[in-house]
Amino acid sequence: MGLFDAIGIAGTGLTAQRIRMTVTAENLANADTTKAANGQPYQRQEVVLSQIGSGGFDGALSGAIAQTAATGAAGGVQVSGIVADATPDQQVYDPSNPEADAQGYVKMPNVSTVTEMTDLISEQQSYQSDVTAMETAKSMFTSTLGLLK
Amino acid sequence: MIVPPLGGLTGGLSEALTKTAAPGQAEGLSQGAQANGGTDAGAEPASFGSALTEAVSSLEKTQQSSDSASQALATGTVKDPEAAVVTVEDAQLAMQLAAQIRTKATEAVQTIFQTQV
Repeated sequence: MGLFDAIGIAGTGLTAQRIRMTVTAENLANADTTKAANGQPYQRQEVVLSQIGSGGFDGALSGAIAQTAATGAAGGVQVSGIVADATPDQQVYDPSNPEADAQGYVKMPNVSTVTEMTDLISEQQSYQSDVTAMETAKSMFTSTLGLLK
Repeated sequence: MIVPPLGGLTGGLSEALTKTAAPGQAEGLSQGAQANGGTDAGAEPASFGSALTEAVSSLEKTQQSSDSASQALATGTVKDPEAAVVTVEDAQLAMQLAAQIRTKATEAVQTIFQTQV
């Protein structure tokens, strides 16, 4: 455990939440996109987060050998993948739409604006908590330095 | 009798502070101490001088990465702004710590210099 680990870990949290925010913005922007890159309606994207340093057999083994599960787990968070939401597309009846099929139905993306907005709130709160953790770690270290004066 | 080792200590200090570039130049204290015929602290591999030089060079490394991070922030080529901010914060805190340690060491030397003989 180094001196500035808490700040670095909070920093990884900030990065992860920023990526979540980016993906949510992409989802909101493409909420009405009927033709994505593959010609199909846009599919909602989701971020998968994983803990740094503790994943897999290696981390578990080294943690068990060193008998320090807590220090082995300290590394922060990372985005391990951005995956497509497999929820089926919405079928909207709109015969005037040029994308409508023979029955007049248009395939719209599986993006729910309400879900995205609540995700946005959650991301904002998480980002704020990471900033607070970083500020607290910094002020703790600064007050420790104050002891030397 | 006290003065020659002290001269070696302070000479080595300033020499170690100026020679921070390469780990191979970590003999600042030992050279100063030997030139004054002083202590044998420099003969040990993990001497105070080498520890100090190591600390200063790692501090310089932190400052350099902080410099490149702030430059990337300023020029807009940064990919991960949060990591850049963390790097700059790290450098600032490390510099504050080093400055405090330096102040303490200087105070100690001043105290010894004021010794009545």
